[in-house]
Amino acid sequence: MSGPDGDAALVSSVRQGDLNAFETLVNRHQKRMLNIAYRLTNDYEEACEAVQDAFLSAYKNLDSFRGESKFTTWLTAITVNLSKNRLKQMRSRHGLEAFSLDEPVLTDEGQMIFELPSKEQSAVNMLEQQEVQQKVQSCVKALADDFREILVLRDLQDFSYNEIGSMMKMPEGTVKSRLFRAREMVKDCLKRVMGEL
Amino acid sequence: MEHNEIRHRLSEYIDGSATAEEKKEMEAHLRMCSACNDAFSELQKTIEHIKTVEEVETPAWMTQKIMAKVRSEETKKKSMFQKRFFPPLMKISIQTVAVLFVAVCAFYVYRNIEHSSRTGEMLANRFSTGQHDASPELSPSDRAQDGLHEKESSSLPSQQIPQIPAFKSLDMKPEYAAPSPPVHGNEETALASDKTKRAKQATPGGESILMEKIAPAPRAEVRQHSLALAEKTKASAKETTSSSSSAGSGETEAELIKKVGDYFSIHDLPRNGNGKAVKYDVSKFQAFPENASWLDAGMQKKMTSCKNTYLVDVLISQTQQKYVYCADNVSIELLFKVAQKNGRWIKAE
Repeated sequence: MSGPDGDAALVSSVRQGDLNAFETLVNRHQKRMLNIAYRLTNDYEEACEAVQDAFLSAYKNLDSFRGESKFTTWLTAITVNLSKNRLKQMRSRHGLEAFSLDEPVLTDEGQMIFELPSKEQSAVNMLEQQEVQQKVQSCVKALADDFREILVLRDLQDFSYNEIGSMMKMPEGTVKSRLFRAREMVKDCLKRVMGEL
Repeated sequence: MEHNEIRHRLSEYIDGSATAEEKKEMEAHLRMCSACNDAFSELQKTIEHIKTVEEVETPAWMTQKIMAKVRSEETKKKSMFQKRFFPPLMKISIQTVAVLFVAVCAFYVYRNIEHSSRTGEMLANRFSTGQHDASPELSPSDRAQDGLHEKESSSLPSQQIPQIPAFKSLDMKPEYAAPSPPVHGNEETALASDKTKRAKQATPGGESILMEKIAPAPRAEVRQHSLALAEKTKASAKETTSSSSSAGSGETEAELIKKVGDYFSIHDLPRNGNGKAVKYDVSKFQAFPENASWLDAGMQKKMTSCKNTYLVDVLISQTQQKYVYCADNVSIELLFKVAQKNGRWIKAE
């Protein structure tokens, strides 16, 4: 069930000891996995390490991949988990707080209200001076981990709600809800840093 | 749909995951509500902005590094496989042999120690107290008990046979003699028939038992033979002969040996190409009837009615002693014991 991309055949060859087949899988998916890892860790080197670990883990645990989902979905789940672990390690290593926005509050009228922490104000000011691209990246980066993961997987990697739910082991409704809130937060962030969309 | 609900569903609507009916309803609402329409536009632009985020490129070394790790893992896996199966196989075989060797050695050492200690204790008790001769007469109840014991031992020979005299060795040579009528005699009993010859191979300074099959004989005759046998045994310990047939019973040597096969194992007599000796199997020997005495009428009867009577020479700490056993294919019992005193074989005190 690895789709028409031929991952299933490659996985089967790898299971029979064909390392070249695995190399093909690496070449096919490493960029996508790196981008996911990078958007989750916000650190290129750490992301590279996470991706290497993810491929190695996939190789070692290939027997546990039953083919019920796409290989990419399975590999992405591994990458996301390892990236999250690396992020935790980074934070504990550097003793840094996550650069995140406060949890937004939904008013009765459906307005998303959140305020940036005062210490982030300078960062917002700094963002105003940067290009839109960088501003968007910064806004995405500023999201809380749970929201950023969903946003990255959906809007940057085009995984379906179902696939994201499968990877993150959460109901599809939760995926939709988190995605909506993440997009709203980025929208508000961009409005702040760019003035208008 | 209310404004709140519309705005919550905008995200799904943009992703195209709303149902056709929802889509219709939302589009109608967005046409009517400018605020919701603005929210929709902003969200759409936000998503467009997000999608413009450039991707990072993988480093050139990424594939090689991943594959190096994978190959290293593969090598590790193979070496683990080899460690798990091949070397352990060798280890197991070596260890198994070693363990078996130690176990076998321990078993024999234990057995020897156990036999030695039992022999020491039992013989010491027996010969120091003269227990077996202290009760020369069997009371009727004792005899009844003895008979009962015999029956029990017949049914369960191996379970009821204690390991009594743990002699280091006991050689027995079957001989064949014509059956003689029952004998009655006095206390100094004969132990052998005319045809009995013995073979003895006592370990110098050790303990050895030589058992010879003797035929039932008249008491007086037996006594004479016993004494003569004792002297003869002393003089010609190495001489061993055996007859090739059992004239009295009509049983062959092999059959006779087979009868006591449960208690004795056959082996060639040392330095004797002619006869066979039967080695006493301690573990299968029946309990000594401590109170048995050949003086007793019952014992006499036992002896004379016994087809296969064995004389057992025992050398304990350089002291020669003799036991007379009656054995058949299911049981063996001590009939009486004699010991050498002042150069003569007399009933042991």
